[in-house]
Amino acid sequence: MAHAFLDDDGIADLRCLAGMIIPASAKHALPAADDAAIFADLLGSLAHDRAAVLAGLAHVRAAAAGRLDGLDATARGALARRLEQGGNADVAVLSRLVMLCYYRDDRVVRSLGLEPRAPFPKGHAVEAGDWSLLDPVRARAPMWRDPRR
Amino acid sequence: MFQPAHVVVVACNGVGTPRLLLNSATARCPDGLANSSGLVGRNLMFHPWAVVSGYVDEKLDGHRGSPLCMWSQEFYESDPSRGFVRGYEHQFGRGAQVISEGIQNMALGRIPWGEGHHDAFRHWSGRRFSVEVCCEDLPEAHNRVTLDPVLKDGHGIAAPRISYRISENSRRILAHGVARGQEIMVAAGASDMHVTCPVPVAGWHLLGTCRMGADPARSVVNEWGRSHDVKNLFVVDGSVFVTSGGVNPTTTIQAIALYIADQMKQRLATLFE
Repeated sequence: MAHAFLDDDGIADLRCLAGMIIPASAKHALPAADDAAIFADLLGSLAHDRAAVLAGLAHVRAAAAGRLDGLDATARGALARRLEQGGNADVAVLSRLVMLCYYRDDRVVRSLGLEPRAPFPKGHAVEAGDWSLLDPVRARAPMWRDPRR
Repeated sequence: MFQPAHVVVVACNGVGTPRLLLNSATARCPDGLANSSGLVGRNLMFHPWAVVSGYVDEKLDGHRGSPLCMWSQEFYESDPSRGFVRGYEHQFGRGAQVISEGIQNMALGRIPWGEGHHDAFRHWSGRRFSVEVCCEDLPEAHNRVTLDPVLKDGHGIAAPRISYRISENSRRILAHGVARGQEIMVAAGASDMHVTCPVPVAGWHLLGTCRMGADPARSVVNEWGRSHDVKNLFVVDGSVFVTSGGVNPTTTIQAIALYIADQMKQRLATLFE
């Protein structure tokens, strides 16, 4: 798989990391973030954060002391805990990108009970609030300077 | 490159405009163009910002409609009993769209990586609301934009250097706004409250560095936007603000630009007098 700035090892590590951040769920009938369609979206969404992506993957590889796909499930879990709690800003960018691409996948959006569409141009009907709650506020004296007074 | 013009209108905002004027120093204007007052770049103001957030049981439906659903200016005007001058605006948010909410909840440590991610996402999503504080920053001469002596852009033009310290007055404003925000959270039955004060990634609106005024010794442009020093130079951006105001500034900047354009049109026959 060719990518603008990730080599094959980088792609493999990123895919492994995506699956570690958001695994599949049998309970919710959901794919993991390393799902083919979601991961393809992720690979196409990295350009803006190129420097952070490369630095984040370097950090992850250093923390793993090697390739991620060489780790067993237990070691991956331990690594995930360390990365999650480590506070590395570049890893946080990777995590954000994984979230971004995962939660815009139509299957995931539907699983949340939402329509997989942008809010515009169709919009959403929003239930009207109870404007009478503002009556006590309206009854107050003005709190602002009124140049007409 | 030299571009002759009868009138020059600058709209580069609170950092770009002073950078341009300071970089336009000549033998006649060694301290920068339009800077006889020495105020170009000074009085830099932002909107120091705070956010109080919490979670309620009800789904807030925040992904539909505007994330910012209500503003309150109850504490906008000066009240000496509060221990600070000027004030702030509360902005109320009922959450944002799903992805943004998820990322913010993950950053707050509520949604984990790995096992438990999906349940946590569903538990925390759509229930977070926030009370934000937009503080009216006031002018202080030491907060300023100058030219960096080393850093330059790709054309070799000096980059701006920003020196800014949140004032004690602004800190008091933020503290008052946060305290009221926490009271609102409690009254609304919110749990898992979180305070960020000041917010590192919001409120950096660029204002005040070419302030407007009638006195050439105390301002850079006059009351209709023309430079006191250079009669065909106008500034129509956030740098002409004299205080920051306690609201997001774009519409005010637009109003000022329209006002100055209208003034230029009305005064066309005597524009340079």
